[in-house]
Amino acid sequence: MSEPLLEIEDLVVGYRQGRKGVVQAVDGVSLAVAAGAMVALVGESGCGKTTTAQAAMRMAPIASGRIRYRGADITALGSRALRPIRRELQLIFQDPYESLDPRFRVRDTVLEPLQIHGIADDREGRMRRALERAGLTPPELYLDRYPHELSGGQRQRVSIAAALALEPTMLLADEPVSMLDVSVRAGILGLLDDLRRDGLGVLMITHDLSTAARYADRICVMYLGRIVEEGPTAEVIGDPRHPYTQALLSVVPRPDPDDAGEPRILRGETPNPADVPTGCRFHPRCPVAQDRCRTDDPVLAPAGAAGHRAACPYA
Amino acid sequence: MSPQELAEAIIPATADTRRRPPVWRFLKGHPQAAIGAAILIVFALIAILGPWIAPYGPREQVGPIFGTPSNPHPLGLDDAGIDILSLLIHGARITLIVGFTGALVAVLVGGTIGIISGYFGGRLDNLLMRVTDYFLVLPDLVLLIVVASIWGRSLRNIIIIIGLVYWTFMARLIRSQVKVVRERAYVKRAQALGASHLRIILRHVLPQVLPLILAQTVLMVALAIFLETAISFLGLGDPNAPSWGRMIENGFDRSAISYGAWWAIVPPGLAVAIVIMAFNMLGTAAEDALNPRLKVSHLLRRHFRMRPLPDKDAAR
Repeated sequence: MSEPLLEIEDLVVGYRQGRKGVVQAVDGVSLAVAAGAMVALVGESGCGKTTTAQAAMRMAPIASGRIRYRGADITALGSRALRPIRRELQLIFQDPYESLDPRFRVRDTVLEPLQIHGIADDREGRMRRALERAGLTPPELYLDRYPHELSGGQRQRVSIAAALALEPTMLLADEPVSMLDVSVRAGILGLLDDLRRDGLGVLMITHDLSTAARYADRICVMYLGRIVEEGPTAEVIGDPRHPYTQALLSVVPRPDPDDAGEPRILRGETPNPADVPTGCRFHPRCPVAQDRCRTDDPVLAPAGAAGHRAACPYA
Repeated sequence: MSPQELAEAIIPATADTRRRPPVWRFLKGHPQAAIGAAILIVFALIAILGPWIAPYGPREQVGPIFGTPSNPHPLGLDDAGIDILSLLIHGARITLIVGFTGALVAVLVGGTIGIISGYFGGRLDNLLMRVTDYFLVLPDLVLLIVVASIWGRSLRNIIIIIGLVYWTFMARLIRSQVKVVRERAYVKRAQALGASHLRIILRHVLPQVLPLILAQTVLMVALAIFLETAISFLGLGDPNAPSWGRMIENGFDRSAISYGAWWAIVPPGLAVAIVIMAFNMLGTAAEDALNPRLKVSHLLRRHFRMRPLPDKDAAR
């Protein structure tokens, strides 16, 4: 793997809650994305996936840890110094119904990043190329449309085109298809895959393990602010080590009726992130939990093949 | 087929409603707004053309004291023998100018503070809102009596007082709306792109709250005219500007009532009432149409949102 584009190291993001406590939305997450790679960050709602991405964009308060871009530490950069980085790192939002200004035509939405970064030469050309690259061809068809005249998939493509207008090197896609109709999901995911093949680094956040399995090179499974298992996609899917990953995989529908397997439904709810369980944070819901899990907090340790790590002593 | 034709063929333009001016559509859909607007246009014309259409000057004695309404003076004469109709026409200009500029001051001050407070939030918001609260609890009448007696009686001071009294409403309203808009994903997206605060406010936030500001401005003018009339009636108005409020005050002061000269008081009173009513009719209709709190705007995403299919729960 080449030099990573984006590195997140031991990231901790805490939000103050009332007077008493701090909620650790993200508690010690490390991951790296290289150019031409797609890393999927998988987990259920509220586990800190989105916060991780926002912290990487320097849009969430970072309590500790480092964000590095092309090896340069951007954790503490001021907004002026951050501008050139923002050109390279683009965020794609979950909800294409919300992330486009309803008063902006497609043209204005895609031109806006160019205006913000003061790129004056060949704006029109850049805008058209971005739209074409996002699969909105011919661009003339869409330039003067308002968001409410477009379908969900088209909107998400506009959103991606706006991200591509600055010719970034890295995309952070926050659940790019979860608000979309199933029928158009594959198109958007295929588009992200193409962009990755063109050499962009993609960090995809999703709660859908099958999406991650289909498109990502690496999968990081998050639970309650921590990465509990990570590794190459084939490894994590083919040989899941952490009981949480195993449970997630057991409920993914399989095309073969004979290979249905026993779905493992986890007991209980995700604990309140303000009141994290002692020991292993997964132990109250874990099917294989032992006494030591109540007291020992496991760290990511190599499990299975090379590059595969899991935070469970029984992995 | 050119790409443009192709576009028209594939996505039929929904533009038929867009090409007609939205103001026209609005008036057509809200008859009360149309009536209010018509009344206001008449009064605005009277105010603009006042000096040319008034039969007599505002200080010109043309008959006996409290002369009754009759042929050359349909609304009678006041205590100095001045034609009431002429006074009314000259007063329209002053009353409307004070109303508009007073409302404008309130909207500019209140809108700016509301946007800053709502957009930046945090401590600044807290500070600005405490200042707003302070002005909000000051009794209007006491404030204006004190200010008018300290600064003196002039139109400019009345305008400042109106601004001082009403900017708080505007600030609170705009702040709450800006707080909603600020959380929209497209504002977050602009932030992620590195857009400056000024740019986000001007390009994304302001256009979203502008309709609300416009509707409120219209209502604010009605309030400003009302306050101007009240100030003048209390004898704190500009002695050199014969506004409608001054006419009423003058009538009272010179015992028009004991003379039985109702025509010195009723016409300016009616004029104030009609103008305020017209502004209110226009303003409330505009607010209905434009305030997202009162009516679910067609721009809200709920209107378009498709339900995600339940398969996304599969991985849970």
